[in-house]
Amino acid sequence: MAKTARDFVYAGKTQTRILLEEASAETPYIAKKNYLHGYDLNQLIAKKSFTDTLLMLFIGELPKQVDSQLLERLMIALINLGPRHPAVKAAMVAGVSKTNTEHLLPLGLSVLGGSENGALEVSAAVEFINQHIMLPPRQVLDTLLTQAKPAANEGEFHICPGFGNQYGAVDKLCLSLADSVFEPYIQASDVSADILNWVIQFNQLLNQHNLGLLKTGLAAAVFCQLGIPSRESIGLFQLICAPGIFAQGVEQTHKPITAMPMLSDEQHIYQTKNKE
Amino acid sequence: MNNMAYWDKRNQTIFNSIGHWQGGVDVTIEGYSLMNELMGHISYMQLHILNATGKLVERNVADWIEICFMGLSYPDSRIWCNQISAYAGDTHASVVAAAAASILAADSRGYGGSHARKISMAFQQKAFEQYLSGLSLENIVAKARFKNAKPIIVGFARPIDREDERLKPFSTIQQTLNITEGKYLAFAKQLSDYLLEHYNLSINCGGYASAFLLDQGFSPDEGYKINSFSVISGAIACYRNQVSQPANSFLPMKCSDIEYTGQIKRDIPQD
Repeated sequence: MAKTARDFVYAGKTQTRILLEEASAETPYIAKKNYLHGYDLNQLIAKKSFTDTLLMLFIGELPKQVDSQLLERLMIALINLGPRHPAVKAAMVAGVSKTNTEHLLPLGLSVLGGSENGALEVSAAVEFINQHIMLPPRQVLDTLLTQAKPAANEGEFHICPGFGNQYGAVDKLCLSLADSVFEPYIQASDVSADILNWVIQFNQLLNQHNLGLLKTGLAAAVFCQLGIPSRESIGLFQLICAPGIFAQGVEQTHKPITAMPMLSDEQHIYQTKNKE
Repeated sequence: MNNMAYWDKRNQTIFNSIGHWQGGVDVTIEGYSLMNELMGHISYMQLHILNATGKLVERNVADWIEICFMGLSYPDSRIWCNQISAYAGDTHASVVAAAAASILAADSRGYGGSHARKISMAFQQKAFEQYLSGLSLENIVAKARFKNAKPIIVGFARPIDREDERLKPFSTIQQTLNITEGKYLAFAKQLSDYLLEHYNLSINCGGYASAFLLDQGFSPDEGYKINSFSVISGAIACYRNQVSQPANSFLPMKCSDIEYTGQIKRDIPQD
């Protein structure tokens, strides 16, 4: 270890618990075999699905089939957030304006990193669910309602991370997707779906107030059920949503720059103010 | 049916309270004409601060912030954000990818002068309020998070082992530009003296710059916006250094250079 004169002690080597690269006999710079959490990568290719391997990457152990299937259903549900989501719109605007193609996904994912309808909201929702799971949903909602002032929030209102309204209304598509994602897991006999059931009950109570589960909350519910920690949930959410961002963005690159609207001067309203 | 008036008002319409481009005529920024009042009359840094905060500051203040940017953007590829830029050079990614990746990397609570600036300004703002309300430096510091028996205060410890070479020019140039020391900077120096005496920690350039920005009337969020791209220049230099070299030549690693601490090799269980 290299010790400095002050308080920062930097490691001599980078450490990881995830991947072991076994060097070839000819050169130490070339690996002959890779092991993910102890499993030979070639064996994983032969015997396990992408989703099994993805989940193992984050939890360190090969998942039960029912857990892997839950994640796979979520991945399908969120594979394309749609051309009206800001992250997807960003990639599409970039695509049509001839941005270098390799930037479409990173810039879309940066937009998807936000704390409203983005990955930081997923992370906050994971923490919210984990902190409240032991309390009855009714009690949690009552507490939130006493603190919330929806009327003061013009526009979209999220009463807590992962739950609220979208464009002022319950996100019906999200509820339908949640049903498809959650239900087979809840019906499975060999697992406890406590977290998913809590989220369903909480959502039903919220629906009475024109609020409900949002897609960020849907992802968070599944991540909590699978034991994915909040920080890991940030990138996993971005990863899951990535295919749609890129597909929608790259589609636009094949079109002329005029293929999307450019608002007129009249549609860009400058609210003049005095100089400071 | 929900009330959709809020959404309908914004459907196909952008409301912008900061600026507007009148094609072929002019651009208005915070009420100023870009063509007639700003171009040729103010510096790029003044314009950037106007865009970032809505405040048109005096030239000397913008010049000092520009000096601060120079201190946040060294062309040394060991610095974390610059390493990332060099890796982008190694894969021959575009220079813009390198610059953007570097800016994102420096959006860190540990270093970089963007997110760290907001954290540091918010701490100093609160600490100064506490000090004015009668709290001692000892009690203010005691409220900070501690690690290894030392307070973790962004701006008052530099994560390498040398004195901060930027403090002297920051101070000298502030005087040259006729910018008087404000109450926040005076307090920051007082806090630094206390930390040096009791914890062997002292103010670094980030702590100085945070106090300076507070003295100029900027909020922590405004400091974050002003400094959002402050590392870009050094990052581009490190990209330039690497991009002309062969692939995988930036810090090549042997398999054994990574210490594996995970599960031992194991077989996949039968289903």
